[in-house]
Amino acid sequence: MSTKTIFQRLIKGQAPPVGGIPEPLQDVLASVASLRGKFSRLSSLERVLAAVRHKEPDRIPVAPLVNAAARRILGVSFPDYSLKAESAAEVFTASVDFVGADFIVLLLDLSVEAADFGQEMVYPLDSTARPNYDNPLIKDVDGYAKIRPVPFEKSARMKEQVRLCQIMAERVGLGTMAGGFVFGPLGVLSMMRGAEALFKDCLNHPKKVMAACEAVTETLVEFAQAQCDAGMPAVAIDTLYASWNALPKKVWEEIEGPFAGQIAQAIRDKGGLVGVHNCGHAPYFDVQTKAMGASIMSFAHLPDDCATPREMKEKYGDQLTLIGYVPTPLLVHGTPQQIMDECRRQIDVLGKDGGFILAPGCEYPPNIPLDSAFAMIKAVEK
Amino acid sequence: MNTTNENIYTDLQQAVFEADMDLLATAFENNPDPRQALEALTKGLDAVRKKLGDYRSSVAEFLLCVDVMRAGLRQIRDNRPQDGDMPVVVIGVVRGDVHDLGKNIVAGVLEAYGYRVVDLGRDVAPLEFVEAVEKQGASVLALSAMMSTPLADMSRTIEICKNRLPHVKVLVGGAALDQDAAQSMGADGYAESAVGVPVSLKNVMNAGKTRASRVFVDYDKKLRVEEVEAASLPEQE
Repeated sequence: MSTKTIFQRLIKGQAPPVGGIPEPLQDVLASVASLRGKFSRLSSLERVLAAVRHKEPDRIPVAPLVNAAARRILGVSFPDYSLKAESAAEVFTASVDFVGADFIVLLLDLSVEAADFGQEMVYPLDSTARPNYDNPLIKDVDGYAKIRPVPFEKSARMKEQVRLCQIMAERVGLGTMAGGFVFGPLGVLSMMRGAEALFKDCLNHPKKVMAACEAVTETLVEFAQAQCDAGMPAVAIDTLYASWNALPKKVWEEIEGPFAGQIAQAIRDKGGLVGVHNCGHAPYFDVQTKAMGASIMSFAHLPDDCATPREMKEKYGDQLTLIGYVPTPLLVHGTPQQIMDECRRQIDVLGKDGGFILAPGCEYPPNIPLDSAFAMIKAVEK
Repeated sequence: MNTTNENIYTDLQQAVFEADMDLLATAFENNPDPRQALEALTKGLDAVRKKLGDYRSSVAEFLLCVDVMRAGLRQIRDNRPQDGDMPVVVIGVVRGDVHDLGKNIVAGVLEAYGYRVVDLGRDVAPLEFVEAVEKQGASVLALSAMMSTPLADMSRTIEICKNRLPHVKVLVGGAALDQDAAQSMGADGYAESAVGVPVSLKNVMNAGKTRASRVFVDYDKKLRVEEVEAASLPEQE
């Protein structure tokens, strides 16, 4: 990552690879933004960067993660959204313009990578793209050995996602901050094997799973770096199975930890910020942070080693920017007032001294009305 | 491995707790009494559930224990009370969702605790659920949804079930739900996880007269619930 790249991006009016800027300089810029924010309104990018450097912005940044849900603003079908970069870009643009967001994550669905490995897919008209679970690519434990890296150039869905990154980097410019997304190697394998079978294989045949992780990681490194090259200043790695409702902590550390670390390093090599997304129950913040050296954590539930949000802020608030964690059931069933109350409660506890971005614990539910997202936007207004 | 008769049951309990299929097989070579064997297996699963509930174990480990439990149940199936004597639970993942890990765990746990479980699989349509409940004479319908997209169908399933079979109790669970959401959809109970599902189900089955709900999905208020008095329920056994 060179200084030249930073300037080239800025000249093009795009967000620079923030991680490539020396940290002391990032802190100076964030402090200036924080100071300015006391008197005037910051841009979304400034707001997010101040928060990420643990400075208080003019207000808490918000990322409603209205991704597929924004299809309905334009009438884009689910398959078009999943398979065509231009259609997806229209959807993300509508989500920013119509709903609003300081930060967007260009997540389409969790099967992008698996599809390119050859997993048969289903593209429902009214729901998220998914693997055909009746026909998993990895049918038994010996199937892991058959997994080979997929060169990025030969991929289809991954290439479309990178095109989406490119289009959105140009569109959002220095306004909203956009981030890329990669499903971790175990996540990709679960899409080709089924989660239940994968969990058991991790306990009973860890070496076979790890061999496949190695092949998948080779592809994911290329994929993550291609997103950085396309203009993403940050990329999130989804390590969902580093949580209590999946694998034991030690098993995750041994099996996926080192590979997740490789992907994170590849993102850093490109000057990208490394984010982690984990919407599992009782996620293992400690080992994920250690394995990936991440500075941003998007989550849906409190980590396994914290009993309260206050404890989480005390324990991880200095090292991590916390992104979360409005519960999905509340977004689906709650009234706007209930949602705003919950958002403000979270802001009170987690927003002090920066390091917090208000967001749902996971992608905004694709088939519900957008009023819960508007409630989140309203909640951050002073 | 223990060799005395009394210790066979300790081994069975331990086999489930440690997910040890070999220990289970060896213990069954000694022809344990089916009822005592069932009791021992259940104690093992109780201990595993407690460990899971205390965050000292993960779901992956729990799955292996449930597998051993189910293998044990298969061994003693011939000597267990007839299926007809047990409460029947129809379970499945609602149409529009194919994530069945949670449903599989809950089905395994309920089977382990003596329910006859009729598993309809995933992506199940509302009428298919209700017809299965009718056909099987089930007393409980358990619905799972991990995504928010199938919630409208979950509401529809509950509505149809409550209208056609008001005595049947509906238990729901999944990532897109919580207690309040379950209640607003007209369900009789909510199971947060496999750890608590036997208790949730027992509570639901022992609950008194309930109210049925008509649930509508509309744009402004999302789920609009109109409560109506349920028909008199048959006495619970």
